[in-house]
Amino acid sequence: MLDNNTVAVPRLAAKHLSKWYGHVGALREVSVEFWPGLTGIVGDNGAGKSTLLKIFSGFEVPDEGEVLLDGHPVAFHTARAAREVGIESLYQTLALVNTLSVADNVFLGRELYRRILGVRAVDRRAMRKDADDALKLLRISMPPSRVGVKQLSGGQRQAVALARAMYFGARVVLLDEPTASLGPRETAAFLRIIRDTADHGETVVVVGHNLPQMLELADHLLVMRAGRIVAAFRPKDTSLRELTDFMVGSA
Amino acid sequence: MTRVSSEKEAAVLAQPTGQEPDSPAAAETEPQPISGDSRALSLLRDASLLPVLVVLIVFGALVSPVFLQADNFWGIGQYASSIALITAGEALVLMIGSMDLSLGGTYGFAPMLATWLVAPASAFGSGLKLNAYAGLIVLLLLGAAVGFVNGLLIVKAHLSAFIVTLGMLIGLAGVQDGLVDGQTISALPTCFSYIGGNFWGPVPVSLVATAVVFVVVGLFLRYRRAGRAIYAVGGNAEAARAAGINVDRVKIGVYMAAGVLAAMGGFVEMGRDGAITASQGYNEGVIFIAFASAVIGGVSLLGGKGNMVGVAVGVLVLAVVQNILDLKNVNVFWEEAVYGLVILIALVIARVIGDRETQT
Repeated sequence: MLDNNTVAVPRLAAKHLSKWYGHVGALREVSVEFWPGLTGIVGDNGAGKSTLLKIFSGFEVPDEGEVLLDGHPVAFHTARAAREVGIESLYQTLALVNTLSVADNVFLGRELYRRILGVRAVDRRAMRKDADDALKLLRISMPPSRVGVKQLSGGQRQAVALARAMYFGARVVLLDEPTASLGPRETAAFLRIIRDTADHGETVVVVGHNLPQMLELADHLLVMRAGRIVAAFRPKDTSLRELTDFMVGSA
Repeated sequence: MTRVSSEKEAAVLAQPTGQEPDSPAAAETEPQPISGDSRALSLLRDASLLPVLVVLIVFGALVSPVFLQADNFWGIGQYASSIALITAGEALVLMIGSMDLSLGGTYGFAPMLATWLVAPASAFGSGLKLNAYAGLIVLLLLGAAVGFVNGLLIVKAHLSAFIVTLGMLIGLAGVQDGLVDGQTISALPTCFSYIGGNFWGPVPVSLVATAVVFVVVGLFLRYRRAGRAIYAVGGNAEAARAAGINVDRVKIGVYMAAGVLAAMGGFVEMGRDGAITASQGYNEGVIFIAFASAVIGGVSLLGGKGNMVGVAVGVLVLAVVQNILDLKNVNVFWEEAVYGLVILIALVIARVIGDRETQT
């Protein structure tokens, strides 16, 4: 990753981010850096994990502080704007349109075109082919991409959203509790996919509750409590016990 | 934003990561077999009511010797054209997950206003003697304007679509009545009755015109970004918004397009009648036929689903039923009851067939 002539810059960073909801400080002066690989964020309910992710993905605007992408300050107020600079967030409720096909979902808002008799037309065949190819890279069992998203399992739906992010060259992929609604078998399959994605050099940020799972999955772990990042570990240097202590504030 | 080179990615991801073979996911890597992928098949699936239409045609042939005659079919086509146009409009609104009752008002008021502006005072017109083609433009603009106002009230002011369009429906019907004191204008300029009333050989012009409109709308839905956006907005507005689709603009655009289609339908119906009555539209209850046809044709009331092939079949099913009732001289007092029953049966069949088809 590190080039001899350039100073290394984190893919995504935050400086002194604060966010208040009335008198409640959801985030207090959070500064953090995310590098290629998989960073897990753990913490109790209300620790500020989701707020942090929402700011990165354009759903919330911080009251103070700034977000940097590849070292450059970026500001966005919509998920669309965040996506345009290369930050993709996978939210279960927001991600997909049930009534459309897998291919239509992968290319929603960014359709491929060809010309038919001089008229610009959506190139459905190319979209299906590219969507199939993109999903093949994730090596998950999927029906062909012309099938409706409604017929997919929870894990397959997540895979579609991830394939979309990868196809459009996302710089950062954010996931909030990605396996919360998945069965054990699907969870294992999807965790492998995001692990692969991180190994491939992407910057992946996962917020999760399941500590053993996060210890196994992540390259770096951040612990949040009461709107602050209170600890950062490599999984091999810490334990379930230590993480829990930091989460509840007894460390 | 650059597209990732798939070769590069494939190479990277093809490297074994160690945990691969024994992970539970390894068993899932076999792609599922792809079943029949012909375009014809998907079109057939869109028109899941085709068997019902076939059964109706056989039934019609059995009960009436006139039914299978070519002229009768062309007559059904002419009758169905105006209904098909307003149904296309309603279908678009249903696809974004909304509803528009006012299309029934536009269907009567738009042709009435245009004719009133053109017709002489002696024939219940305004006496303004507007040029007939200018009247045609007024008709289309009125449809768009009604849709625009509906859209603003529903999308921007967050009012209920049901109440807004109900008020608009009754209001438009009232103005339609008031303009001519409940009278009928039968002094139509030639260009007003041409599409609705004329034939090219045996073929009604209205059927050709409607077919062209359906093909254009169908291609638009299938192959234009804005057309795809209609499905996305109806299917999951939040996902559409996150994908960068201007949801409000799509919705208002759909209300406007629906208004224009309803105005065109009313225009065709006026030409078929050779007159514009104060009761065309609202008092005839055309909006209910449009709703029923769209839903029978597979358009979901929940939004995000439907296409023009299905809508066309839905319209034809009800038009054939109407035709059979007419041919059999069913007592007019009971005709509506039979019609309603048929709508219910058709809906049930459409639901059963539609559900089974989508699960394959």
